[in-house]
Amino acid sequence: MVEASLTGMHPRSEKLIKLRSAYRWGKAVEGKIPSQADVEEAHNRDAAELITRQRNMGLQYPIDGLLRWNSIIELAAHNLSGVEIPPTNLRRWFNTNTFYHKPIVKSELRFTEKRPHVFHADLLGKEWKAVLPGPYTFSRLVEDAHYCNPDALMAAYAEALKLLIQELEQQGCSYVQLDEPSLVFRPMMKPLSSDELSTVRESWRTAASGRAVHVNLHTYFEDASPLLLQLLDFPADSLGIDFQETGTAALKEYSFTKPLACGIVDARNSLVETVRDLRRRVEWLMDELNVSSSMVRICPNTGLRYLPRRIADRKLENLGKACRELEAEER
Amino acid sequence: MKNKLFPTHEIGSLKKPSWYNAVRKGRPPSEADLAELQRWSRLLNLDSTPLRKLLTGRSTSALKRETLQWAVRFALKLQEKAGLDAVWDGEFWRSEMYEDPVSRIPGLRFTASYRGVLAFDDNYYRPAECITRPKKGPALYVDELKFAKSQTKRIVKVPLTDPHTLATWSYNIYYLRKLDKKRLDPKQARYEAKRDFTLDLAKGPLRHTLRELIRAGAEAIQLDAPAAITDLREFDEATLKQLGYELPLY
Repeated sequence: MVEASLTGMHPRSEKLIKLRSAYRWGKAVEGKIPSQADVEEAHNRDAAELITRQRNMGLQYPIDGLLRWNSIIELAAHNLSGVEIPPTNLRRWFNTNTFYHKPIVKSELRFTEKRPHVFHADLLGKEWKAVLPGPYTFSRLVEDAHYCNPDALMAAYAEALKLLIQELEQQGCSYVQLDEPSLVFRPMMKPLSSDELSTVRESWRTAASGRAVHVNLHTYFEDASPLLLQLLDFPADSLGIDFQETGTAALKEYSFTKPLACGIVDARNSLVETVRDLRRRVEWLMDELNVSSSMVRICPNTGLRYLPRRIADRKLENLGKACRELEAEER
Repeated sequence: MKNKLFPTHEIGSLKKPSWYNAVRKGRPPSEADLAELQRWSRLLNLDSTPLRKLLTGRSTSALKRETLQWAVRFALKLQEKAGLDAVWDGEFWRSEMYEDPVSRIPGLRFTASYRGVLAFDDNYYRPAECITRPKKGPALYVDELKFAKSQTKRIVKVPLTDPHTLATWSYNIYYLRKLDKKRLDPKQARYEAKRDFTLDLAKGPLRHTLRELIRAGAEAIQLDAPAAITDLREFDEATLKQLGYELPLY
């Protein structure tokens, strides 16, 4: 059975955008300057609506849309002590036109008590998906003013991540996606060596130990094929590949032993893939990679945040419809 | 400027004066806005009595335009006083480096009536999609250049967002649809579509703009290419040459 899910941050609705902006700049909406409680309520409404939409469309592991955040880096840092998120320190998010506040690690990284509003566990109920940065990506996208050694920082984050994953499990989360775009997106840098990848794999072992949830290693923004052999060896239950950036030619030689989260919906183009297009892509991928439908989960290549909400929601709906049609066909 | 060893100029857009922002937003300038005007008039030794009359007088249809022209005079004077060799208007005519050119290139249209894509915090941008081959419209920024030149004896620089950045930050529908018929591998299709889109933007609307700017007396043009730092390496050497990038990128 082909499963479907979203990959990451979803765009805020027009209403939420207006309300948040009015709150921030002290402007009136419908004759009233919104309070923090109004903004909280609007966030909850937006997240609840998105969760319902995913459940209605038959997506197996809904996400809450991560609507409060600029990036998963700040989201993860919010759960840690020893790290500060400065109001400035803006950095470009990979090759996009979006930015994040680069956190600064100032002392020993530790998982802190559950903080409110990281994920909407109350709205998500059971069987939901959390999205967090993997150890390598986190350690390379924060400023290290304490360890002065990216690998030591990566190991410390992996320890904290292990506890965070256990906490999420307690909250009803059943699928954790750990994003590792920094492993594959390395403009003007050499590919990671075997030794470097071994160190990353070690930190993954730490992070993924002692858990019952499904853990997916997700890559995007670049071709994953040069690292595929090594990535398949990571202690993850499935592997996410951006199929807008990764050609299938280099993947044909592998025999896949773990499921693939196939990023076939383009989160960076407003062209809405039809249900027929998506079905054809899935069938083509299964054929090219010689895998059965039980090995395939379909999703956007990255979060749909790069699109206005209306278009993102249409992509979500077609993803769900394609999944249902493929399922019906199998029966 | 050509004879100087290290000619100087400012790079990014300048902060718009608060009294100009007030007029742009349709509100009367506050006491604080007028105090800022007075302070800068004194610092730059610029007689702004006519502007003060304009700001405190009755609102007219020409108010916005005339206030903008005053804002440009302040920007030019500031750079002259700082001793820069090439000066410019601070991009006061434009709303934003992406949205402004894209709104004036036929073939591109915005995907939403509001800024709906989060840049950071509560700042958003409004991406456009390319729905047909970009065509030459009226040349961009010629009026800006002519006005700035009329206000200074220094070399006036015109900034322009480069075609690769415009293509990178836009949704490429037209070229992807065209290539879809060939049933290419998605990665290959994406690459070819982006290359064709970028080259057509360069050869059509942007080359036309460059020609018209040069005809109008532009001596310095700055191509702003923020997307180049991460994405330009995707193109082959021939494409880069066509775009004018001939230096090794890495």
